[in-house]
Parts: sequence; C-alpha cells; structure tokens
Amino acid sequence: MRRLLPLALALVLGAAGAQDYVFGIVYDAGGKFDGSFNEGTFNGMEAAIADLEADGLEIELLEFEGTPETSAQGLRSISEQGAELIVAPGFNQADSIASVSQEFPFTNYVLIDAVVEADNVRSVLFKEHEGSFLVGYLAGLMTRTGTVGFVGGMDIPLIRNFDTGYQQGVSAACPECEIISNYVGTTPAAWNDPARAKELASVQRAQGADIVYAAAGASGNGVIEFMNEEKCFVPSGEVRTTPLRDVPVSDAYAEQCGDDAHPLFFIGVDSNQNPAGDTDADPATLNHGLTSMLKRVDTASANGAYDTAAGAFTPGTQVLGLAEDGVGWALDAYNAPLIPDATVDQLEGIRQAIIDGDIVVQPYE
Amino acid sequence: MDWLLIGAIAASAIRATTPLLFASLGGLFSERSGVVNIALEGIMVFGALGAAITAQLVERPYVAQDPNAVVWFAPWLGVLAAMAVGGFVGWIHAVVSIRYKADQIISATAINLMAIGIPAVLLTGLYDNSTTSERVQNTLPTWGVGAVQFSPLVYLAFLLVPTAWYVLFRTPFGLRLRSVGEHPEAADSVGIDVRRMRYYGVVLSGVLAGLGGAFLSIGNLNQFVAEMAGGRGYIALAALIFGKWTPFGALGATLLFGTFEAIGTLLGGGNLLPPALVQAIPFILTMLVLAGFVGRAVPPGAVGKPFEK
Repeated sequence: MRRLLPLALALVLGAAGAQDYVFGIVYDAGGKFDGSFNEGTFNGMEAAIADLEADGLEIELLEFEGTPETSAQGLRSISEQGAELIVAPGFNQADSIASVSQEFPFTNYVLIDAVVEADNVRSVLFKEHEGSFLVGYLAGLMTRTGTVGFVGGMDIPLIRNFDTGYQQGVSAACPECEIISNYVGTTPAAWNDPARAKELASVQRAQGADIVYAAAGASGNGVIEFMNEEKCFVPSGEVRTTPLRDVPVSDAYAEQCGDDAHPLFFIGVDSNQNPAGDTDADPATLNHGLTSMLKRVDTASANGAYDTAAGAFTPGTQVLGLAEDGVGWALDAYNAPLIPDATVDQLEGIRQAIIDGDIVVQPYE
Repeated sequence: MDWLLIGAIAASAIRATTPLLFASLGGLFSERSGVVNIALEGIMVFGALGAAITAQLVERPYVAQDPNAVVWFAPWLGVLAAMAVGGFVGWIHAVVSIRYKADQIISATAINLMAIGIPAVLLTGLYDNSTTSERVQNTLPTWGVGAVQFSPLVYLAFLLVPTAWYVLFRTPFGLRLRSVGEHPEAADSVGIDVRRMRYYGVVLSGVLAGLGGAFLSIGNLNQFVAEMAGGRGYIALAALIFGKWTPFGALGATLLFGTFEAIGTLLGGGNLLPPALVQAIPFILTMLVLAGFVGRAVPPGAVGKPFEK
C-alpha cells in the first residue's frame, strides 16, 4: 500500500499510440534513479531504444516504480497495454513474474537476479562474486590502513555473494588486511536508506576503514556522500605503501586536508559510479571513487530489447561472469589518474586468471 | 573498542536523536494544547521534501553556470521552506480537528497517507521518478570543533529543549497552552481563547516537525528519499509519552531511542544480535511505561477531545 497512488500516475502517461513496440521496466525497490542497479537497467534500455529508433522503429517505454508487493500490479498493467517486453530488475519479482508471465504468454520478460522457468521468461544471473573479487583485490592493494569496509543493502544471499567475493579479493591482495562488513537492513527498505548507509560508513571509518565498497542500491549513495564529505583521514599509526598515484587535489581537498592526510575512497556497484566521487567537476583531480564493480544489468536489459525487436528472444537462464563480460571493474577518466598502469595490468592478469580457472572465487553458500 | 569508535557511535546517536527530538518537541506543544498529532510522521516527510526541493531549485541556476558554485543560502532557504511547509500542514490538521472537530487521529492519518502520495507526484513532475529528488550540492554546513562536527540543526534541536521548557512552564503563553490542554472549559471561563491556543500549539508542532524533516534531507543527507521519515514521527510520539510530556523527558527519551537506533545500525549484518531486536527495545520500554510499570505517564487531561463551547 505504501506507494500505490503515485504509480498509477506514471502509467497514465503511456496510453496507446502508433508505435511499433511497447517496452516496459518494473522497478520493485530502491527507486529508478538509484545511480546503480535500477538506473543501470534503465540506461541500457534507453540506449537500446535510441539505437532501434535510429533504425526507424518507434518504441514506447512504460515504467513502474513499485515495491515488492506492488510489482505484480505494475507487470500486469504494462502487459495489458500490449508490451512486447518487460524488464524486471530485482530478485523479489520472481513470484510476480512467474504468475504474470503465464497470464500474458505473448509478452517477453527479462528477470534479473532470479530464475523463473517459462517459455517467455529470460532469467539473467550474474557472478557478482567474481567482479567483487576484482574490486576487492584493488582495495587490498590500495588500502593505507589495512582495513577496508563493505556496506551491503538488504541482508540476503545475493548481497552476501558480493561480500564473500570482495573478502576473498582483499585477502588475496593483502592477507593481513581486515574487512568490516555491515548491512543496511533486512527489508526492501534497505535499498533506499542512504542515511543509515552513511552512518555505517562513518562507523567503519572509525574502525579504520579507508576504502568502503557499497553494494546497496540507492543506499550506497550514503557511502558515496560520506566519502565525498569526509575526503581524507590523518593516520594514527603506520600506513602501508600503496601504488596510488600522486594526483593533484581539488581546492576543497587542499583546504580540508593537510599534507599528512590520506584520501578516502568508495567502490561503487552495478553501474559505473566513479563520476559520483568527483567533487570538483574535474576528472583529472583526486576522485573519491576508486572503482566500481560493474554488473552489466544494462547489457541484460538492452539485449532483451534488441532480441525482441529482431524477433530472436530466447527464454532460459543466462549466468554472466567475468568471461561473458557480465561483471567487471570500471576504469575511466575519473579513476585512471589514481591507478598506475602496472596495477591495471596486474588486475587484468587476475581477471584472466579467474576466467581461465587458475583462481577460483567461491560463491556464497 | 577504542575511543575513535565510541566517538563515532556517539556522534551517530546524536544524529539519530536530532529528528526525533524536533518531532517530539513538536508533539509536546500540540498535545499540551490538547490535540493529538500523529501527523508528525507525514509532516516530517513534507518538511524533508520542501527543504530538498527548495534548496535544489534555488541552487539550480547557479550550478548550471558553474558546477562548483557555492550557494550558501540555498540550504537555509530550504530550512525556512521546511518550517513553512510543516507549519502549513500542521495548520491543515488544526483546521480539520479544531475548527471542524473531526477525529484527530483520522485527520492525522489522512495527512500521513498524503505524505506517501503527494511527494511522489511532485517528484515525478520535477525529477522524472517517484522516489528521490535530485541531489542537492549545497547542503547545510557542519559546525563544530575538530572532529566534533554537526549540522547547525543538531545544535538547534538541543537548544530548543530548555527553550521549550521555559516557554511552557515560565511564560503566560505556556500556562495558557497547558490550561487549554488540561481543562479547556476552565480556561475558557477565564477568557482564554481555547481554539486560538490550540491553533498555536498545532502549527508550532508542524514547524518543529518540519525542521526535523529538513535535517533528514539536507542536514544529514543531500537529497529527499521516499518515506524518509521511516516511522520517526511515531517514535517521537512514543518518546513524548516515555518522557511524560515534558521537554527534558522528551530529550532523555529521544537520546535513548537515538542511541538504540545507532547501536542497531552498527549491528547490521553482524552475528552478535539481530539489529531489529535492539531497535525494538525502546518500544518495549514505552509499552511498559504506558502500562504503568515504570512510573505513570499521565497525558494532558483534555488531549484528543475537541472543545465544544
């Protein structure tokens, strides 16, 4: 009942027209612009639609922002409007997809993070632990204090999978390093509680963490906000030497932090959140986003659109790991100034070793 | 446990206390005047929304020109907007429950339900999604010495405690406010305008709860998030009861609740204790107080009853 009213409105906007295709996205928690999971799904869809429209097709996108309890309504209502494809990001939507996909056999569904077996449902899973291992490895190399943090969203096996991969990665790079791990909550509200995630980041900082990996949907913005605000720390003891490059700092950083201070970093998730760590609109200066664990929900969503438009939609389950480019780590103009080429090569080596099976990352059991 | 960690938890507890304290003091003025205000929850949401949208819209033209623009007055206008919006929503509750003598619980529940729908509509219009506002770049500054840094609203909340005590118990206004909450007929017979006093109480409670909302969105964070109050309005009322309808009682109770919230947050994901259990402890205590096991909590005599002249 919590968000019934508004959602109906979003749907009214999209009644029938003379379009070739109607595509839909149903979000179940965290909100559309979470900068992470949901937004990645949206961005992939938007890009695919732009692509297809450049080819002369006319496509309408219907969206529904709901809760796990209302997602079935959203799915049903968009299906009723004749959608050819609906993307449903979120494990909580599995039950809704299972029943709605039977009611609308001519609509294709892409379900992300859970499996439903039906002729019109494509389930996409990711090997989050593999991607998290890589960013954990980088955190292990880069931490000055020898302590790193993990902030998960809702405490569920899926997020524990990020956690365990990260821990293995940190330990592989730095066996003596400590990892503090916390979760925002145990209900879907945990995906959209940045205030609590920010408190967790502050407490982890007090316990020594100088790099925090947030796998928490929109809540992760609280961790990002904390790092951007706090910017640096003055070590109380010895610090490890790390390969962090000497980069120019923003004016605000120079003002807030002395010469003996070291920078604080977050690691983003799902989408590339590196740009969110840029506090002065200048990618060349010190950025607080060390990297992001890319989970290519955008690709999953875009592929659904391309396949449906080409009449080549296939049901079944896809499991995307490093080898399939389903997960990875983000390197762009924002964090390239931080990470030396040798470290980039080292990480690429680790990536290849995981793909080749020389390093086995254990998933959460 | 070292001092740094204890300090961080203490700071976290104080930040968790602040919105509760604003709302609890708001509830104090309303209930002391004889009007139950469970709309505090919804008013906080409206306050948070008003603050975030105002700050974001004020800074927008400046940020469009220079992404690093410092617009120091944007968040302060946001705070004023939160107070105005909170006062206005409080006034609606006052009109319905004082002038039209509707059931105060129903009126407030309607406001709480509106706080779910209206923000989503506004956000959809402004920011193309129904759950979050765009991030505000110029949030409230932090004031403090060294590592002790808090939003100005934190200091304001704590300063309001003795202020509220003074106003309620040492001024003619406070005496009148309490008298219309205890025995409106007696107050009326000595020429006190009961309705007017109740209007003051309820609107004031809206202004205070609105401040609590502003702290949530632009004091503690940099955006509005749907359902941001997260039950804090109700918790504040529980704290008010736990604090036996006095300002310092409310301070003690909200500090206790805030501390439990901070500890519960800290425990999230650990194996020590389920955080939900820790966060439930204050409510168990409140029930015990209500049931009379831990001293009696006596509400204002006429609270919840419309005044019939």
